[in-house]
Amino acid sequence: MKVTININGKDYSADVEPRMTLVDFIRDVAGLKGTHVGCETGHCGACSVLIDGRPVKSCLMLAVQANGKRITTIEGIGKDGGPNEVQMALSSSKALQCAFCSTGFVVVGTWALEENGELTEDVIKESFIGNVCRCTGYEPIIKALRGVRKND
Amino acid sequence: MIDRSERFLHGETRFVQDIELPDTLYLEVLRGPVAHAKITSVNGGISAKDLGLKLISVGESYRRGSGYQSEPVFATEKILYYGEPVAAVYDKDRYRARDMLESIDVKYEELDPVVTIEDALSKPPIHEGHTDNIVGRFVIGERFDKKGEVTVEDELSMERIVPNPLETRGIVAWYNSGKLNVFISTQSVYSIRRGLAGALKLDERDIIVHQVDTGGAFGSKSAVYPEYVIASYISMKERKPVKWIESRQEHLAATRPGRGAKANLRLYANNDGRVIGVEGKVYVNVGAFADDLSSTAPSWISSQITGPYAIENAYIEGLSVYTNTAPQGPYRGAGRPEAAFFIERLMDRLADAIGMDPAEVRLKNLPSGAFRSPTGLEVNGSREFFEKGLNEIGYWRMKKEGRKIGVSFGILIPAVYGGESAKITLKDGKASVWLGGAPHWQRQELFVKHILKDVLGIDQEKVELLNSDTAELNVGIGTWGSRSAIVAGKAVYMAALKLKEDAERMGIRDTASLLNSGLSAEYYEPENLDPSFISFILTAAEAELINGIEPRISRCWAYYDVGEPLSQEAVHGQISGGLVMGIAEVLTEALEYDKKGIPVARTLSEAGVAYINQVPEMHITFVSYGRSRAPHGAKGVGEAGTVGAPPAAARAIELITGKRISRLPLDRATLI
Repeated sequence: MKVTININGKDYSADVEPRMTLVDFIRDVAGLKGTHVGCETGHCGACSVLIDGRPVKSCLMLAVQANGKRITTIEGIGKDGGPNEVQMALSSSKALQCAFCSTGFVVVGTWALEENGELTEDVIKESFIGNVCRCTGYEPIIKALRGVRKND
Repeated sequence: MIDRSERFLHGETRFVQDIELPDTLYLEVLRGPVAHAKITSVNGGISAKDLGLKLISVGESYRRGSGYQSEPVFATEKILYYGEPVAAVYDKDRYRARDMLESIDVKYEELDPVVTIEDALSKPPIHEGHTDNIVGRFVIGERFDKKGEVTVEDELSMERIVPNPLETRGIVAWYNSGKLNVFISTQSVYSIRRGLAGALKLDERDIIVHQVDTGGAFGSKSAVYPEYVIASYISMKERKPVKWIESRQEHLAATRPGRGAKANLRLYANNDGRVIGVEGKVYVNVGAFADDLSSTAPSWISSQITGPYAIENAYIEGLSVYTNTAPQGPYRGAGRPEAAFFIERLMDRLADAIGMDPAEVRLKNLPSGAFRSPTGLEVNGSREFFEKGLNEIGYWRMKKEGRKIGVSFGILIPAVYGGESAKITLKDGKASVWLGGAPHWQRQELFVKHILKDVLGIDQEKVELLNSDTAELNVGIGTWGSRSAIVAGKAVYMAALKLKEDAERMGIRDTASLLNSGLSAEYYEPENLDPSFISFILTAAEAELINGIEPRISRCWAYYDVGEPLSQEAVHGQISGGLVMGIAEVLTEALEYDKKGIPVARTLSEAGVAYINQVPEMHITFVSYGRSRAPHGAKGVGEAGTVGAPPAAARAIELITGKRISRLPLDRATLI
């Protein structure tokens, strides 16, 4: 089936099998490898992307379902060509370890900040309920992001 | 220079799943659908008739097991565990390769599965030609007669756990111009090289192993696995790159799970709380096949059963047994958490039996000087450490306030055996560093930077830690067993000292010239365990019942000796990560099998990994209770949390529910 998906402002068109997942489209058709595949069942959040501004686990959606949608992946996240507030907070705190989950955390964190204006502990715990980090025990991530505000 | 630690925030890491070489073939593996069966025929794909090789033992162990059955690359004659590779297919299209699995026809006759340790001891042997299911028998310590006024005993067990790094296993193998190039997510490029050479009968010099960005491991990526051999074999046959990425379902079924240990122990003591001795049995379920590490696991657990205590008598019989389950492997702590859980649960039992505070009972049994236990374990001055730690975390104050705090006293024995290698090259205005132990961002770069600043005065932003690679550094060991800060740190330190001498000899004075000097230095030296490497860890926990029924750890305290801390953030992150894993091990995390030997969990959540809502309030303090013998004074930390948290968390829950916890994960049905 022919689909066209706008990823980070650019249209990608391809003739894909109906069973192709969105994450495979992003990684294999668009060639954007920053979105990772951790569990293929929606339990880990490593493949999180934004669809029309809202977080979605891209392993749970088919590419054909995303036809015509606007998607933001980790490669499209940032601010003025540099890191955004969430990326800066995670970077300066040295909170992350193996980095496999990180892009999912950045994507969801970026949405949570946009939605709430500030990342309180409650916002963090609610927003990241679908993101697994196996290395840090989450506490360093919570500490790094707590109090981050949107700078306009 | 973009530091790797910055790349992850922009999605610029390169994990093995991200590698796409031209003409790649995708490998898929057909796995045993039952735990125990006689194979009558396999039609289609590559199977044991094409590749009848066995794996060799590589990875963490320093003890040699003997006479065990090692895992074949493909099931031969029998399927011995659910998930065992039976056949393999490949195609240039990944989706089609998966479809091709359906074309393989396997006929088999089911056999009665041996699932538990009890099954192993009572049912017929799973391996032909064996008389029973016993892999190894061990006796640790000596029999003793003196038994004391009080005896407490218990059957204690820790369920198996799948390591579940967020990145599953994966490999790209490419046989090209007479050399096998391997790109892999691993803890040790040298284990992979040795394992592939051994299994495929190749010369190690013809195998080059490149570690790619590695998304966590926790023990699961230290060994060589069948799929790595299969991918290499196909690449040698087809002369094309072959890629295999493990699915999460495959990880849950076939990646080596850790733990799976049981103990029947008695603790003899006097009414004043002084322990006289510990005796009993320790069993480990090694699964369908063994290696050096799993076959000797009961001996390793028993050797540290006296923990930080001055217990004069110990006599433990250890048994490792085969079952029709996935081969067992290391999981963060690998034997240390088992020993700690066993002895610490008995200490709590003793405290309850004689009506004494559990911390008090523990203090009573600590040596203030050097002590060598009957199992050969040497600890030095543990009493002062734990006395201070209890005060620092406010144990006595909280106790006075009526709060119910579980504590555990532990030791962390780092796996320093074999030492480690490092290479530093000063070129193009930067210092490039390779370690023998493949870093996967337990934040080794932080201690590497610290050491280079310390020894050579090089600014942190001029230092890059690269992935491990046999082409860059021909000798090395691996990262596991809380060893990296000690042995890899020492190797970096010694290589840096060598560079300093070279620079002085050449009259290089400023760091700018040094960083463009083209100088390079390597260091490798074996290491042996020294008591100064063993650190003490005090962990405490407080629990609550959500809605009156659901236990949760609300607060925990860690007071850990880390020697000279090389990086605050790295040490903190290792401890917080370990604590949450250790708590999940008590509450939710387990690889359980049904009666037929099929794993119950099919997803990450069903495996019980911790989510963000389970994180307790943490109070993490690390101190230097003496430097280690390493030149930079570091001790280990990676496994401290998984050693310390389970007994403390189990006690905390026991205190609020009044129900004794002897097995992990706790059984919710009996709790309320």
